[in-house]
Amino acid sequence: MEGHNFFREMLRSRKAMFGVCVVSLIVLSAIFSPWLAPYDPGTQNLIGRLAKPLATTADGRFHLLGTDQLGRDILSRLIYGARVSLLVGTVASLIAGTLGVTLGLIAGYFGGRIDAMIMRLCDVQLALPYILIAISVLALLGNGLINIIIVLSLTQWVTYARVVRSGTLSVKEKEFVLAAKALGFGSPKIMLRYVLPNVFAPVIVIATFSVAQTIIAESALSFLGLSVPPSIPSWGGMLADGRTYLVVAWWLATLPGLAITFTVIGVNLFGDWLRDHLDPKLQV
Amino acid sequence: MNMTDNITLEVEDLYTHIGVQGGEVRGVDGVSFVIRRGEVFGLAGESGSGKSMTAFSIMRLLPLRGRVVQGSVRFKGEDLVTASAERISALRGDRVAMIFQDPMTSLNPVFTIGDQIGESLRQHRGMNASEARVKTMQLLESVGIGDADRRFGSYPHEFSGGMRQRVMIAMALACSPDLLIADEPTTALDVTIEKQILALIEELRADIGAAILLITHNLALLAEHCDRIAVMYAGQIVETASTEELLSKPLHPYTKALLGSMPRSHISKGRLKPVTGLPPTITGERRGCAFAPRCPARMAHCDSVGPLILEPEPGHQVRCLLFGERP
Repeated sequence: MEGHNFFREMLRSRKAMFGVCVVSLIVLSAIFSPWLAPYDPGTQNLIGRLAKPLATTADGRFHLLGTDQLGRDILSRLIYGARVSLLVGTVASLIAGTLGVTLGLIAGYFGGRIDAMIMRLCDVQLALPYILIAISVLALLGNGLINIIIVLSLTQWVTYARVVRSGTLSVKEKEFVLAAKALGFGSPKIMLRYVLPNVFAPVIVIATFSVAQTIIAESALSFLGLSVPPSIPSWGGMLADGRTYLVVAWWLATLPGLAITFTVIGVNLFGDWLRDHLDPKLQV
Repeated sequence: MNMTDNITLEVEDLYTHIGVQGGEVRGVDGVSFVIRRGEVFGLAGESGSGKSMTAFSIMRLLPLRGRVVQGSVRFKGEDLVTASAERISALRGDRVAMIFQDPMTSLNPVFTIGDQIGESLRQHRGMNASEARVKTMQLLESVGIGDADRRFGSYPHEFSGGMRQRVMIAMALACSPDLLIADEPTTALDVTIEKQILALIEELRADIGAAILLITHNLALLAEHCDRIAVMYAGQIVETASTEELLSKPLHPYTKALLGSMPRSHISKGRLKPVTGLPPTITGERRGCAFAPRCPARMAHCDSVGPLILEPEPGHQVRCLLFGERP
């Protein structure tokens, strides 16, 4: 695929552009949070607690999106919260992708007993609800950022493994793989240079969806109090905290909810477009 | 140098079986032949006669359920059937190379032509990227791909079938192999390209002195390019002779039938004679001659007595009861 055409077509698609804009916005706010956030996300101000959006508190501070029950600025917390969501989403997807692609490639290429073993492992993984795994692992290891990432990677690798395996099964029968063997190349080289690049397009697409799913999953874990410690602002955590104030201060839960929704929609739209673009059968 | 020193490949009494549902197909059933240095040896036969299986047995590239059950494949004295997997990998692409039937699918679509030709040089010759590039340019020139500098960075989809087959040949010849196996190298190409590709293969034989095993169902093609020809039927070689001998004095009824079905310009009158019926797939015990049911010269004992290889004339071998029952 020509890189030039790729970007031109992306600019032409409204869906893709919306997705890209939303995602870039979030990436930028995550990277530049200390400069973008108007206040420190942890500073409490009990005089100005539960201030409405666009309100100025009794001590003269303006809060664009209001404050929470401890008087912390919501906008700043949302900007900082993007860091957790994005970090967990991308890193967990990356780990899951690496693990899943490797196992899928091995299973599909070698077949036989190795294949059966890896696929049964997938079945076991799919049979266990991820919340159950998350709760037990986090209860065992304690809840830190790294543990969250590990748990969420564990729930995502199966999708990659199954897709890569089925792709490998068909690609390894192609004549160019036979030709590669006839040139004396070993299995690792054939897997990495001949099979993997030819099954990679769906992996890119799965990766985008998996980022969105992981962001939701992390929020759900935060909501259950299983994610990062409360001192670190995260969207799921804000949502959970705001829940009790829903009747008196709607913005506490609504704004982080909107942030999650828009991020996931953005990533999904981009993924959707990517899928259509990379699959020649879907192109009109 | 005497005759035995010149032998590049010696296949002896090779049996290859392929597992299928409920049994095993005798894909290659007692095949023996010899190819000398610089010789083009043709293997002819219908689809399913075991030509490709013979080639894959030599290269040790059999499908998952295929296995060599008996016999030996000696490449310059070394038995490839019992050689270690590492040894085979070292020989493949270096000393023994293969060209495949369909050039459209034989190249990796995600890497450039130059990259793929160079890969083999890096693997077997330990060349670095720039050395491989120089050698790849020479190879592209030698297989008739001009403007090598620009073509080096092209992807397979930018090439036509004939060009891709040239690339395949360049890959196969990268390390100047001693044996080149060409499995139906022109079947997927049109006739004018076919001529060019075969001319190229012959030219390169002269250059590097490799032995060539040319496999095709096209007898006319073999007649034009081979020194000797073997005709396969149902996993067995039924006749082997020098090209002139085989064309002028075919002995086996199957060879005669094949030649009778070939369009030839100097015999202008009359219809072509097809070989009626279909070749059998041999699964269980072999009884009698496999060609007997289709044979115009069939005798009473053809169904029960299996013919052995006889040599009615020096250098001309045939597997048929018409020429006697035992050597």
